[in-house]
Amino acid sequence: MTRIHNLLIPAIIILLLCCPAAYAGEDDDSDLSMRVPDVRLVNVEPGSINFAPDMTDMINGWTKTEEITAVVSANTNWVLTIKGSEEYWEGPWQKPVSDIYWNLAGGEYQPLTTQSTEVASGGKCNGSGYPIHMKVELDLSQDAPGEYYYYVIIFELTSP
Amino acid sequence: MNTEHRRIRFFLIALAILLLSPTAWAGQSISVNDINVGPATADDFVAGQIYIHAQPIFWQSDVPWRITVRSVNPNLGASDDGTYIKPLSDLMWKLSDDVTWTPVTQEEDEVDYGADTGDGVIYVDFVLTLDWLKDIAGNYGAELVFTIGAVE
Repeated sequence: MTRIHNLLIPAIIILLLCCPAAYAGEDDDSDLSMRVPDVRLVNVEPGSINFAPDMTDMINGWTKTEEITAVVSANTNWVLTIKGSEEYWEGPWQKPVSDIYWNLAGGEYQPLTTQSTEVASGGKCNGSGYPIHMKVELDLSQDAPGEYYYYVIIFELTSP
Repeated sequence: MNTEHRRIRFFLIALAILLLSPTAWAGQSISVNDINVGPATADDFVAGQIYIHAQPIFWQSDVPWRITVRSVNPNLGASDDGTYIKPLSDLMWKLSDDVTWTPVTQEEDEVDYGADTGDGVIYVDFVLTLDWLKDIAGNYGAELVFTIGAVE
């Protein structure tokens, strides 16, 4: 009998101490999940250019050069393209899109078209700037003084 | 009193202490929801994070309590192509009415505690940091364990 008590008492105490209700708390799980897709972002600064040709520009046949910057951020590979929104400017006559010329960082000027043209390409980046110069060809016989012409240029950042 | 009686008395006292201990019979429960956010957008990347507001944690306790949180996983998982492991420290939490963020770890961190009994709810905010140069496409996340226990 004494031997039984010698084993029983410590056994019960150990059992109680190890009992889950004695110490352990309750818990519940929360699965936290997030999908990250391929993300590309381009911002053009400034968002608009105002060409204001003077007499000298009209005689030379070109506006002064303006610069815009395409700021690119992406977590994957990308291609930056440029294209015109319409065949003609909005204005008093059908001034063609090809009167707009652009280049990247001092490269060779090329006329804008309504087809996407590659400007630059790259990989992961955060706010990389690509300076683009723009100028407009003027036609002294068509571009009448005092008239306004508008045009929308589209920049896109796409998958290679 | 012989040795046998001393042993029995010791046993009964120990048993009484254990049975009367508040922690022995604490009635406690906790309930949390799964959290699914995203897909991450360009705006999220520009902000540098996805902010998850005021996730409720429902608790019930008939003794003073404390709630802890830990991650089962050592990290937030791998990118689709397996080249990037998002670190667990990119996930942080705070009580909604606090201002200090705490990175989630695999160790139990105390979220809140109270002497009030009954039931209630606390609200926790999470933030998942995003970096254009690191966070390539993938499914990221962790299994979080919220535990309620009695205050020792």
